[in-house]
Amino acid sequence: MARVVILGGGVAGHTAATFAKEWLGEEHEVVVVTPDGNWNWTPSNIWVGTGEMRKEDAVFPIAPVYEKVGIDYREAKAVSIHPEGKSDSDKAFVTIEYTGQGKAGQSEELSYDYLVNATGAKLDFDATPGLGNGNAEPGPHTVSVCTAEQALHASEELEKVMEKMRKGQKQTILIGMGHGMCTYQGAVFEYIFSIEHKLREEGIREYAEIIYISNESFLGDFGMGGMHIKMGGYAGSSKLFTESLYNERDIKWILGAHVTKVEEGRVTYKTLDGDTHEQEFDFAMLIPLFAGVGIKAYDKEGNDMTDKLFTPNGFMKVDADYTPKPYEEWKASDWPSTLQNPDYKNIFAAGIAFAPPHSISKPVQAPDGTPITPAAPRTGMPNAMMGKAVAASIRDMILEGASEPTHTANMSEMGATFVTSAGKDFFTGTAVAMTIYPIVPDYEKYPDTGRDINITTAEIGLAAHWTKHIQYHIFMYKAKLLPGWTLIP
Amino acid sequence: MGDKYMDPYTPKTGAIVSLSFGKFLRACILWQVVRFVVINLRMIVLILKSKH
Repeated sequence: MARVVILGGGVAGHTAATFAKEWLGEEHEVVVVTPDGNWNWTPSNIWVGTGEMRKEDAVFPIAPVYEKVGIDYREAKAVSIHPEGKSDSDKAFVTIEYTGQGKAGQSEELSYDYLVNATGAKLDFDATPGLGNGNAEPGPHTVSVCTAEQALHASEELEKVMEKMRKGQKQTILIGMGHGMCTYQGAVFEYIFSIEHKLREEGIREYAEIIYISNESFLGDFGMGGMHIKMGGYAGSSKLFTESLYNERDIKWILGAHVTKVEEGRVTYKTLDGDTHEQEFDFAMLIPLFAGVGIKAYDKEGNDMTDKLFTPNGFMKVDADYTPKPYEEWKASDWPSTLQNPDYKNIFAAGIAFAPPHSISKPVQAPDGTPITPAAPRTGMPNAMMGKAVAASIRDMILEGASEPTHTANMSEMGATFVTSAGKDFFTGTAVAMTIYPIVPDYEKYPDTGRDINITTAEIGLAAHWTKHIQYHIFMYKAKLLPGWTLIP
Repeated sequence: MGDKYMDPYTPKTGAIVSLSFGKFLRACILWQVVRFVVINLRMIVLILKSKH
């Protein structure tokens, strides 16, 4: 019997665990270690954050689902990885610390034959002074929609400023990135347009000045260096499409910004030209910097070797080319395929937890060297594909004796769909449906724009909202492992 | 809001402007049914191209 331990129960971890169990059956053990007892469909946090969905509809308890299919679930967080075992044993193990199941605070050593690191990211609010509360949680001045709980709080704060608007008071709404190295621009895009739609539906839009603040150097970068889409016989930049939408909805934008300080009702930010500015607000939703969750690694003698498994920002090293090189020399082949750790062949990383070789957007910085560049996005569909590919490779290594991973999930060879809500209503709602292939541009394969122009598209309309709505129900169904879930792509 | 988009001397000048027929199509049920099929077929193609 082999034991597969999966750290993290988000999209990547949940997908890896459920497919691994489905394929490996009762003869092998699949263990999931995740500190949160609820599974959260994070794309729906946007609707929770505008008060258009109940928090309870975006989450469900994970323990009964895992119990149903025989996955061993530990409500705990991973503390350290010991890939060589310890002085009296060669068996690899992880140290976990329980956060629930009546054992909060207790530590345990959990041995493994295969390990999948799918912990997601630590929301590093404290990387921006004033954005956090000192405990890696949102501070008192702004809100976040990164978790369902945070989104619920955001909707409550939003309701307060909306109440003032109903009384005729002008309010400034600031939404965007709380650090110069943030990712998650797609979700922020969704949140800003959902709020704008909600205010219009209520007839109070004229009382709100809505401002987007971002580390992108152009609108429509989305952390992917933008994309080109067909426009009347031309291939036009996503900058045109995105600017058009912002203009149409009268949303202002601040670009190339690194937020340096957050105070009550005010942010201070530095821009790419080196200048420092301030922006006042009545309501602000700012995304924090994402970092690795801080798992340590130790060798057989107990010496710290965290830097062997992880990059300095805490993400796990996999089969990527991490050689530092200038933007002009970046290639699609820099990106990892098997997601296997190069030193320990039984360790994989999937989703946000793997260390990308570099960003996708061109790195730029302020004159004093402050980097102001979006990090590479790793969310949703790509994460699920990575989780499934890793599970398939482990399955073949266990059942077929494969010596190398048999499946790949390279972001330069896979696409993504982003359906971003811009108003939730079956008849008056709208959304932007974007398809992009590949996520990381490959200028050798697609010399014109780096991507397949036939399936790299963006359009806005009611149909995209229907798609978004149906996706919510389909993926919640799949995540709950209801009958036929394996048939859902 | 339309006229201010056309001002050639503002930062907004570079953006394309959505016209009334395009906005109508975004909410036209019949057209959106067609687009719904197209969007989802496109997504299926994308998923199939991403399988390795």
